[in-house]
Amino acid sequence: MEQLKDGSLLRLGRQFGVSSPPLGVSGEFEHFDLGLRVGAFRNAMREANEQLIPARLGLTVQLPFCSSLCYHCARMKKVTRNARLMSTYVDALCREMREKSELVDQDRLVDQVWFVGGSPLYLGNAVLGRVMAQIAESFSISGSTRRYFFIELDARTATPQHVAQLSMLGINALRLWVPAMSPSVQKTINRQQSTEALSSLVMASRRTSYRDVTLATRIGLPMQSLESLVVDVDWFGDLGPDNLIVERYQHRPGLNAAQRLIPRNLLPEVERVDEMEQVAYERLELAGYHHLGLGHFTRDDSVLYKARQEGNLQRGLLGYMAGAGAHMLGFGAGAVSRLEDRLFRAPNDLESYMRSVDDGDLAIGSGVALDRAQLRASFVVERILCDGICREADWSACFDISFDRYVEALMPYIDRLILDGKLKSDARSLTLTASGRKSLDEVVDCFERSLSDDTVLSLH
Amino acid sequence: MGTKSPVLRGQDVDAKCSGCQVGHFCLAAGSDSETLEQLDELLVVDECIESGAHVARRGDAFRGVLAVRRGCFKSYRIDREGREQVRRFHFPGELIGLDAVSRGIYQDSTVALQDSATCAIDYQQLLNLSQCAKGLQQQLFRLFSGQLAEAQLHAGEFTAEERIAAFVCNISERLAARGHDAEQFELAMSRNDIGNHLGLATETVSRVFSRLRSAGVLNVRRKHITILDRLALFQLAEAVTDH
Repeated sequence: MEQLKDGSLLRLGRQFGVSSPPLGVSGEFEHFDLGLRVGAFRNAMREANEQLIPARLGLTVQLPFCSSLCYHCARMKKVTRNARLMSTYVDALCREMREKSELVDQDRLVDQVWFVGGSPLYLGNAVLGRVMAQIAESFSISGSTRRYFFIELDARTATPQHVAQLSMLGINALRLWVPAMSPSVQKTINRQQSTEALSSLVMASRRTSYRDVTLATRIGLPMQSLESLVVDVDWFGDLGPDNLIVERYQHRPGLNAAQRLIPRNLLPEVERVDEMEQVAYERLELAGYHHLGLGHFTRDDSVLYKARQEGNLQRGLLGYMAGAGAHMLGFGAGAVSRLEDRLFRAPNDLESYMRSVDDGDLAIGSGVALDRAQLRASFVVERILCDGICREADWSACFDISFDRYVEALMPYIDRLILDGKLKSDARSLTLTASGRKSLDEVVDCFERSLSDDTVLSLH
Repeated sequence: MGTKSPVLRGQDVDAKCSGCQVGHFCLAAGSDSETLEQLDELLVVDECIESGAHVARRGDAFRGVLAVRRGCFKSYRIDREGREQVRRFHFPGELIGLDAVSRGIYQDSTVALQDSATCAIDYQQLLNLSQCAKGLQQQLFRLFSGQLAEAQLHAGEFTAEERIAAFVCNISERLAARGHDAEQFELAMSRNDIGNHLGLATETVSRVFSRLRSAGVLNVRRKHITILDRLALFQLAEAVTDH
């Protein structure tokens, strides 16, 4: 099997959601395919079942349909009104669930479900109910109060009634996308939404006892100014969701066709964006939010904050999530499954996805197995991203070579971070500092670069 | 019958008892050099048994015993309702096929749980040899009675914790006797096989391992076990082993 070359692991990890926010999940993944297919997937599932204490299960369900195009969006999605296409897709999705669930021991409990768009609610509550019923039929659902059933909502179309109805389906976490509230920004990205609608949804989620409500916003959008961002961020803080995600907009019109509709000259300059990010971070901290990393802020009574206190935080497809070590099974076009060191992905386009399900191939379009060096690097990065520290004890439970030796081999790549006060290193741990937390991208890049080093690769 | 792949014969001395890593615990233990040479003559080594391949099937005629050189095997039967019953696991230095000795046909089917290697030896020739070699005779007896001791793990009225603890102790001791690390090891069998062998539901196996992990007795990762508190483990296992 061909090995992954150079530092592609963590970038791959981002694609797969292993260590960084992969919201721009586009076509790049195909470069990383190492030829693992349905047979390898079955083996990975069998091995997962055989573990003495099998990992808990999370399900990601891709519902990639939208009613209109938002120009800034980098997701895989289909803008359509074709009801038949959507219904055929949901049929395939349900078949995929039935067939994949046959590979899962029935005593393994599902305690996370993630409905990811497109815009999941665009399919309608009845269809979501059908998908949920299929999940309940195919899998054993955990009865734990820690259960986390998540959906992404479009605040332009969702109503407080929807929020209540979703709660009856078992949904208890939601994310509302609000790229920006300024009308001029909204117009240039073709996404107009009102403050009233947004606040009514947040209120409704409180009334129906959702466990976790997240607002996700963007920095660096066309026509965005520091002033408009500050107004937005202050208002979001006042609304008081459990989490606030402030992410940079990545303008890559070559990869994302919709972004070609955004004139480049409307984008703020990089220096301005840096400043916006800094100001946004400061204001959120003033509003009482804690920075987990990579622009993900959380309140100290939230699910994520608690998970972090318990060392139970991990990175998932949509950023931070509670439930370290869970195996994720993906369903639908472009969905990713993650089983220990193996990652599988369904074909990205709808036609290939549905054909793969029809052919009985369980929608396994591509897959990779991470090698030892990649596993080590992603382990350390994941702990630093989640806990802010990678401890020798955690390391030794997973790897044979000593922590000292690994850190020593990494030194040429991380000494700059240590000199700059972003990372601290001693015999027992690598620790992220407050300033390191603000430049996690740089920290991750250093580990990524270490993967092209023969000394690091050949350690054993 | 499963794979019978490349086989090493007489001339390859390294592959036989004298050069074997588990020779000290296997048939050769306690034998003098003359007996060793004779044993070497009788052995047929099979280095390439793939995970999942059968080396014996219930009802087949007895062809001789197999000594495990490397890997791990599972012996099982299918009951009238079609359910599998895991009888025992075989580690390096242990014998496969003793169930066939009395009736001349295999009572159990035996399958490799990982890529493995064995030495085959004709049972009658082994007996003939042991009649004039006292050391070999004693070792054969020890290997026989070891298998009887394992059988008691799944008999009797014990709690799930006690059974799992006794099982882990048993494996640890068998591996330690063969010069492996007694404190940490990788299990070849699935939790399903363990549950079946010990008369426990699969989910009970995981629940008990979970409890032992929370209590700091064991560390468990995938199929890898580290014994953290041997005394606590022994105390639990005692109920079964004293029985």
